[in-house]
Amino acid sequence: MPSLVRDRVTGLVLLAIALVWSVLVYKTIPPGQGDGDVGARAFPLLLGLILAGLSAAMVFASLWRKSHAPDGGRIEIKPALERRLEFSIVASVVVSIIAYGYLMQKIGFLLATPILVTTLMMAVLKSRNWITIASMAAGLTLGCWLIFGKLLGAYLPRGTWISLG
Amino acid sequence: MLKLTRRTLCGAAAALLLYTGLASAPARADFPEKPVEMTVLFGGTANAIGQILADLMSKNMSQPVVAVSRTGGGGAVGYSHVQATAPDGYNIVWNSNSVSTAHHKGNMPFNYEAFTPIARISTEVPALGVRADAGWNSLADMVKAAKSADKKLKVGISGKGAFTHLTSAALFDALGIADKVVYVPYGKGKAPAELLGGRIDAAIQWPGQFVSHAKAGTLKVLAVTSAERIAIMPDVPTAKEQGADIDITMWRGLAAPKGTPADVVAKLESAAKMAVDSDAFQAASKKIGFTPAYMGSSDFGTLIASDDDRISKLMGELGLKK
Amino acid sequence: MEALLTALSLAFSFDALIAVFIGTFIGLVFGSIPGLTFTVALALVLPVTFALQPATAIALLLGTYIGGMTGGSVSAILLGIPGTPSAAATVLDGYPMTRLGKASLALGTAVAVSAIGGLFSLVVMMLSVDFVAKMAIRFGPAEIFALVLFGLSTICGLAEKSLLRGLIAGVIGLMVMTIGLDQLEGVQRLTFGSTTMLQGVNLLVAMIGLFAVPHVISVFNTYRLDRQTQMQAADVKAEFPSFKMLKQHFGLTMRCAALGTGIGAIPGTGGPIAAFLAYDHARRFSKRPDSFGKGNVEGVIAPETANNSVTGGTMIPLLSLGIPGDPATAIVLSGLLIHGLVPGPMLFIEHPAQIYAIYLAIILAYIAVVVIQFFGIRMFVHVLRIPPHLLGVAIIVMCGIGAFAIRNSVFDVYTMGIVGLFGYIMMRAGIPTTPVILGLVLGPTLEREYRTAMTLSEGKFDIFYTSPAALLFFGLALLIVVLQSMANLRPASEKAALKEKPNA
Repeated sequence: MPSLVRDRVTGLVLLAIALVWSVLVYKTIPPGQGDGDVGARAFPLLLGLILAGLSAAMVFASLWRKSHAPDGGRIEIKPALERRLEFSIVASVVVSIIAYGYLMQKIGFLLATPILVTTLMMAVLKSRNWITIASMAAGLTLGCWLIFGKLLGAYLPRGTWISLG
Repeated sequence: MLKLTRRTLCGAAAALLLYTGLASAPARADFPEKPVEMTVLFGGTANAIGQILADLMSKNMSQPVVAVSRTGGGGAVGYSHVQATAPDGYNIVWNSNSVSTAHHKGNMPFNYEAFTPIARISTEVPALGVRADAGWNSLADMVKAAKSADKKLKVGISGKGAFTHLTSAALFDALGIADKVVYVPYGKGKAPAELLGGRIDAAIQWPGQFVSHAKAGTLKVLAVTSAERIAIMPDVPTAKEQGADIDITMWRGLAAPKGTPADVVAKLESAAKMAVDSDAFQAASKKIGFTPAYMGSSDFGTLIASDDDRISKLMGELGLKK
Repeated sequence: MEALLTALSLAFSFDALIAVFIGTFIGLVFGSIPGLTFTVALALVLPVTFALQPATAIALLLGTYIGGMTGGSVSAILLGIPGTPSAAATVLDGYPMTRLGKASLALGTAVAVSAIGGLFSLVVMMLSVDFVAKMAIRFGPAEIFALVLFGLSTICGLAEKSLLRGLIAGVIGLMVMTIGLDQLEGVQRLTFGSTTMLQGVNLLVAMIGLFAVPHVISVFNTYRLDRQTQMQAADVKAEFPSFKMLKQHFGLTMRCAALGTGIGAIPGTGGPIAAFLAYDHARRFSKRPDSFGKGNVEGVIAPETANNSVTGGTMIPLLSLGIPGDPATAIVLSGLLIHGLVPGPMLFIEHPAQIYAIYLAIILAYIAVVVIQFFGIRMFVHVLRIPPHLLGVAIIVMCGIGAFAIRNSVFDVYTMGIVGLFGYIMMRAGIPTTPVILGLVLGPTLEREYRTAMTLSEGKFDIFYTSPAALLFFGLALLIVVLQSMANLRPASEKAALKEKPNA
């Protein structure tokens, strides 16, 4: 994929985000009353418009460079298999972080952590070495619980469905 | 024995489930059976007093009270957390007038009625400070200067709709110069320095922020807004003494979600009373600059309701109400 | 003199010594573990100090603060994930040094210059607290706005090869911080009526997500592509900076220390802005600016000196005016209040012994930092021997705990995941990460100070151009923008040499 195409896509996506942002800001935040009262709306609105301008510039620059600087570097094209792998890793890491937060609140730190670690080890790292998995899960959970929860007195969530600790 | 066989059958995880399931079932007679979580809504002084209170209450109960900070949204985040928990007394909130300001500002869908009051613990009184070289010795001096000046008086507050803003509005209204004032919102704690820097003419903040500067003679505290003088600044007259008829104090106290059983509330209430009466709490109040002011559950409920009414009106007048 | 002797006996009491040491250790641990920050460490330590003697309590708090500030550089250098926002600039050259196998040199240099910077600012504070406090008071909203704008202009330098991308990144950072409850008017902004959204995006949470999540993703990706891959820097030998090397960079160290102290003294600015300005300064005045970002030790010296000299700098408004510069010093302030030490001019008159005890605690904390780190570095570098994919799993757990612990809020864990996703997408789209951090750090201050300034001037812009200090900073900001734009307009052939590489 030529980097110019990437820039054009990035620019267009950012432009769309910036415009949606600006409209939302304009519609939902009350404006200032003038006379030195800048108000809560001015800054986010200005930033949205600046981003729109910059991303539009990015799109134009990629069009302009096409005719004037034909060398415009290429970025490596990954094989479809690698792209799919990367996508699955990104998705599973992000989903597991969010699930970790959700579980922490529902079943508490002590149960959520080994579940997270085991899932990551098996689903993302494809580990089938039970000794590594078990020692990672137990070690991280107990280590953090002892050091942060007990020794340093940090508040670790106890869970609303089941509560341990 | 039966339990034991079941445990072995169900496996370790299920056993834990069962065990904790049993443990968290409400058994009011023995409240508390597990630590009580006290949600703290703000950092700074609120957090410090909350931590001390939690410590002292723990000494009077069979289980500790744990202060957990849940800040943000002008208190709305913490209130919402506690309001959504089961009304069993294990989740209480270290509340303040912010329950009214957050609601009327439109940041919280429920109001004070979503909570059962436990006890009022302390009060803090806003104070009006000016620069010593302004030459004002009383509110009257300031009013006179404001009326004769062609520029508006700039008054530092913590933020629009903050308690210091409401207090300022009430005070300057009572002084009859509400139209001669511009409120300048600063982040927390910066207003005294801005006053020293000469960029504002007066600031309504908490006494603790003025004490050192007042002793050093660079700032002067003209009034406190309560009906009576306060211990940390006994020489400073009240606004009422100077003819501005206001009585505004901010309280802090404890509340539990609505529907918490009366006997549980009573247990927490008595633990709170013992904590407030303790020497350690009294000593801390002098250092931090607040007034211990225990008030029982029912009186506290009446106070919250009447204050809510006042705050609602005041915010309506200021156009801050949603 | 009598006060000093009392202070000596206070500060060197067994309890206080132990407290400094423990505090520094806790701070270092929290600072150096990605995901955990020293603001959390301070919040945990605070209740413990209530029961202690004042001198011991101060020692514990300051030890934690200073240990945390220096600890932030450890994960920045070893993993490319800053432990604190102040260490974000250290990543730029510290992490490349690790990849060149010079991890312990980078860590050692960071410790050495941190101590120098910290002690420099302490000396400034001891000698001229009144003078500096008076100067700091003259910095009103207009001046701070100008200073922050100047800080923001360093984006131009951080933008790697494309100024446009850097600016886009910076604006995104600024935008993210406007979500939530407006700090001045209490109005909801883009919360969609949700109460949890009122919290807004916490700076620390966003930073953790932005650095740690993409890091872990790429580690996992590499592992899955080729299971044999180990980090190149598995060969870690303990190599410490020589005096000769430190002496060589003495001038830079002193300039950055002065810069950090000055910025620390101005309330509402703090470590990150000082670190970025120092980094920008070091690169701009370097003979080999091209080597920055590739493991130039000056890129570690500058930000680490500056962010530690901020510690002494922030003590000035904290102690003499009672103004905390950031959340961390706000916690230190509560700790002082509980022990009856009300900051302000009278503190120096009424409690001289405690003031000296504070000075001594800072000195001792830096000694503790150097001692602990002397042994610590030898251990820390072994982190690089842990298989990166297993370390990645541990980092996710730590970041989960860390994000939660900042405000005890699950919302922050979600935010971290989502910000991390965006961080990864941006990295793939070639938008640099560091300017986002700058936007995140400076956004709230920039907006608040501008709005307050406009309220003060009742809507007139003269408040900005009648102040010499504000004009100076505006001028410097403009200068940086112009210089950078000129550099960007140079023939493309020169730039082609700098092959595009997204910031990890």
